[in-house]
Amino acid sequence: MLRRLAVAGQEIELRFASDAMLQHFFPALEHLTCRSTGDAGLTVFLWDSSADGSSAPVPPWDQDAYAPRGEVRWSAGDGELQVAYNPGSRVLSVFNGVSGEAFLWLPDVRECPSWESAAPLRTVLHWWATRAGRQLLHGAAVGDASGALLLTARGGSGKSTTALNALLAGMSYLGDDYVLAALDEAGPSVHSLYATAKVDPAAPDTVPALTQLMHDASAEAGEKVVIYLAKWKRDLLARSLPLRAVVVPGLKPGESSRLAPLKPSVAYLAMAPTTAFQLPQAREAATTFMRRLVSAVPCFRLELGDDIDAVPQLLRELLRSEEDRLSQASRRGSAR
Amino acid sequence: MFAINDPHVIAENIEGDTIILNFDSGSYYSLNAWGSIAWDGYCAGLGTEELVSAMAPAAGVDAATVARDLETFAAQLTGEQLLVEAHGNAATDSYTFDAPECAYEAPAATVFNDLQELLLLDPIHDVDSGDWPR
Repeated sequence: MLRRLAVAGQEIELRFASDAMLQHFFPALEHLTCRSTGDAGLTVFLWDSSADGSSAPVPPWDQDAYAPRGEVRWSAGDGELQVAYNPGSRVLSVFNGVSGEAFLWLPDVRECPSWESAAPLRTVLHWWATRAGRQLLHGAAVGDASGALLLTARGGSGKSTTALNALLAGMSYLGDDYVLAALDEAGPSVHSLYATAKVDPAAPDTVPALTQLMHDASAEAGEKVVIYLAKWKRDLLARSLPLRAVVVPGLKPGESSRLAPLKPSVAYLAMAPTTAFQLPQAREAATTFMRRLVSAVPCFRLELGDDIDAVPQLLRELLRSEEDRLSQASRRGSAR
Repeated sequence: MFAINDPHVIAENIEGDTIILNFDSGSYYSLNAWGSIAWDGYCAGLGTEELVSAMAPAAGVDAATVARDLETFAAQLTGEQLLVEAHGNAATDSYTFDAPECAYEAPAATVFNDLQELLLLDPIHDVDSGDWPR
């Protein structure tokens, strides 16, 4: 079964060996579906061995090859392959940056955890993006016609709730857990990867409107609920938007919500460790990219007070002011 | 003399502020302004004495105080395995001392350990050859 995706202007072909694999790994990506216009920049083969076990690859490395971040420190000889294995989901990811092919295998897709299907192929997409000079980021992104805001913060800071609240208020949504960023000649941009949101089961207590999105979603014990947004909010799912600012949310109970300018280094501190420590083989290319990103756009702290419903309007006003600022700067530049 | 603990450590300077990631421990660090200057000096191969000579006059602080502060700072950086002892000729041509605009404070690194579990979790145990570990 073939599916084509358009991600940040590039086409990716997914080749699923079974309907079970497609049902598990495609829903989060479905909103990126496109018609084929030619050769894909990346082709991914996805299969599991639940049917007969005979197609299971035998690991050619020993236990010592397994390293943090799921890295597998092994070389096929020509050094072209990147390999990672996640023992939690038991997903093996293999990427050949020269041929543009990748493989994703796991022993039994029926045992794959929901958090894996909420953000599928992220290791392969990370390697593919890095090779293209782009970067997967751990963060959310929302926006409107004025552009997008990248929300980045450590867990428990209100990032996901802010993104979902913005979606429920009618803002465009590009992702919750991971998005793709680019620093091209046209300017900084953010691109959607996953139309999912992971929500704390108790979240409707603070955002009642989430109830409508969660009524048929389920989660493993102790895990967040995964909501597949293409089913509910397809019209608000954006593929790509120009990036206007980086926003670092933080909880401020008892206060009114507000935005305040933030040093780029503080935004980098919120973004870089949580991104780099989770992505296999992320190193200088990732940290350098993130340094350039926080210096390319203004950064803000979002203090999340008790007036959570006021936050989307704050975000919209920020987008508008940044768009106006850029327009004025552009006019001044043209006038010289 | 010291050197950055490459490849386990990556540092980025964002408009004068240094943020360091330690990919072995899962800790990350934010250096204060005078700490960033000292870090750049150490990574360029300067020794503590050379840094004292540069920093003390610019800071308006006596050399003994700066020396003591730098020794404490260097001990913190090596203890956290961000810097390692190095030998050989220093490549000091690449270093330009640029004093921070703020008043002097002892160079220091703020340590963050909240993400250590992302790197320190080691679930691979006793895997038989040919098996895929859980």
